[in-house]
Amino acid sequence: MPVSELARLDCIRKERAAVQRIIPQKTRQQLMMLIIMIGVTASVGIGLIGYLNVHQPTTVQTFLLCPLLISIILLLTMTFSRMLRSIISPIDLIESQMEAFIRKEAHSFNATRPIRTVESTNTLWNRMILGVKGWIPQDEHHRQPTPSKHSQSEFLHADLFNMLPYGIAYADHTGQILLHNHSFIQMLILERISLTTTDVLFDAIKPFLTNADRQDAETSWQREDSLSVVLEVRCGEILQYIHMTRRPVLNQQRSAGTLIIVRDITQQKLSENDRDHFLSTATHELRTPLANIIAYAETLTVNDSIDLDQQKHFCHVIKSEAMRLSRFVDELLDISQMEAGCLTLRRSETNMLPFLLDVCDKVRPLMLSRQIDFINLFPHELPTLFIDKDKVASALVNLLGNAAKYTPRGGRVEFRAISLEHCLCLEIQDTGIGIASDELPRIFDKFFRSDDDQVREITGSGLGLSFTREVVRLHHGDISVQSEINKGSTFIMTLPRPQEPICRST
Amino acid sequence: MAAKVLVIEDSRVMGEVMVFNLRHHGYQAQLAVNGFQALEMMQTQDFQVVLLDYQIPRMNGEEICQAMRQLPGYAQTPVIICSAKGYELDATRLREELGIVNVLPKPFSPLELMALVNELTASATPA
Repeated sequence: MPVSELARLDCIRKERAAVQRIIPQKTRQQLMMLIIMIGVTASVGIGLIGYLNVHQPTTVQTFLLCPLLISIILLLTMTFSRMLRSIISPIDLIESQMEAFIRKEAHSFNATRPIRTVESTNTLWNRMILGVKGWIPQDEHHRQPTPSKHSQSEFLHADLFNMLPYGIAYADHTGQILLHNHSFIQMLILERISLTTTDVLFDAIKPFLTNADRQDAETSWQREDSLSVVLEVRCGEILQYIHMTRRPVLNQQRSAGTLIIVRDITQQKLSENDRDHFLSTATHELRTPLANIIAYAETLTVNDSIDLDQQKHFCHVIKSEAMRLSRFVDELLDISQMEAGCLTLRRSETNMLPFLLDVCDKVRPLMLSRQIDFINLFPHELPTLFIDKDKVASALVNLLGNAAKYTPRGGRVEFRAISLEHCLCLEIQDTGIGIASDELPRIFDKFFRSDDDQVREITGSGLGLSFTREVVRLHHGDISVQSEINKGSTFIMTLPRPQEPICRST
Repeated sequence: MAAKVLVIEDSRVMGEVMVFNLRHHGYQAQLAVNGFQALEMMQTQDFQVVLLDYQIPRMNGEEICQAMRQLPGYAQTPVIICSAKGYELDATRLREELGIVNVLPKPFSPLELMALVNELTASATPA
């Protein structure tokens, strides 16, 4: 099926017009005739003069000169006309080919026809054919709509081909790229490259190959084997993963060219990376408390003569590590539900004041144990919201727990509630170690944990904040954070008020 | 003279129990919670065995080990890498690149750890 025959046709017409402009056909013929006539006239004239000179008494030199002149002029005329022919005949041939193509005798056009008389014209011709074949209309939209139904479908084919989510290129057996679509150029960012041969293509994509692949790819490219490779295409800051397959096209067991297909697999790759990261972090988080439990339990069992206080301390560690493990399993479950999109809310009308006081009671022991000044500033009246009590409570406990964990002993944590027109704003401010500005955008990411030593010494799974954000999101609320290193952090959570007065459920 | 052992472990809970077991078995054990602290301690004291957690923020076990090998007197010191990633680490490569390195995957039993330390101190300081 011709990809965009119309486009080619247009190009051919242009080329033809260009040739016509240089030497119109009529002028060419007239020129030929003129040269031959001048030649003939000149030789006849000189011959006549010579003849007349023989009968009239003249010098011997003139008598000898005449035939010499005649033969020189004849020779010149012949050479000149021959030269002209060699220039004109390829042009005629090209023209006849073009005519053939325009008359839809595409079979004769397809052959890159050798014109042996003038080698450069031949090369030019072949390059033109390739150019025409690879030419993809850029200004399709500015064209006059074509009335014929047939050509409309051809436009459609061309558009479809260009807009495919796959990039496609086809090269013949000599390695000349005959065909490629927009997606191909876009995915491999080849806009600035004139894509003529597969070698040019390979040079352009070489930087995208990973070091591990480069050698193999090069060998199989040269041997024209099938090739399947993932390219890392970097365009500025953006990294995209492009899968490229190349396979030979066979025509009756003989190589008829190569097909190169590229596909954007960035999303797939990223989710694979996320999954790997998740797995490795989750395993580490499970192993760490387990390792501690085993180490402490075995220390207790194998060593005699451990004093009672020490034993108690060890048992306490075992218990708290077991709790940590259990919490982590709960968090994992929450996260997996969240991932699967089935973290559903069991909302109920909640009077926020008693609810928030309950939350404060839950974290007070932790605050006390770390000698933190825990202050809550709630107005006397707070709105009634329609929320999932358990989930919002654990989200707030997460935030307050973080405030406690990351605030040095003797610090201060303030929990404020501010009732606004459309929402309830909850602020948790601490005087803790703060969050580095470059880490701020990532703290809500799953499994994100700071690289800071002070943070590393504090246990945490890196799931709490991502769970908290999800809970807030499900309530159509918002969460944000402001922080300054060594000064403290403030987390601000807003929960929307119900749009209409809550109806008593029936 | 009891052998001196340095424990480099960012988790205090784990570090404490390792130090406890070592001291209980008569070693002089000390704890460092990060690479910088550890390298500082190694410059002022002589340790016969180093226990090293692999996943330590900022400077991981491998980097600490490389830096340690540059210090005078630590070119041959036996190192035990204890890590929850123990099963995924390439022990052969670590041994070739970083000298005498044993890999002990977490969770491990303190008995295993003690046996390994005993063996290494015995070979390091032949009686």
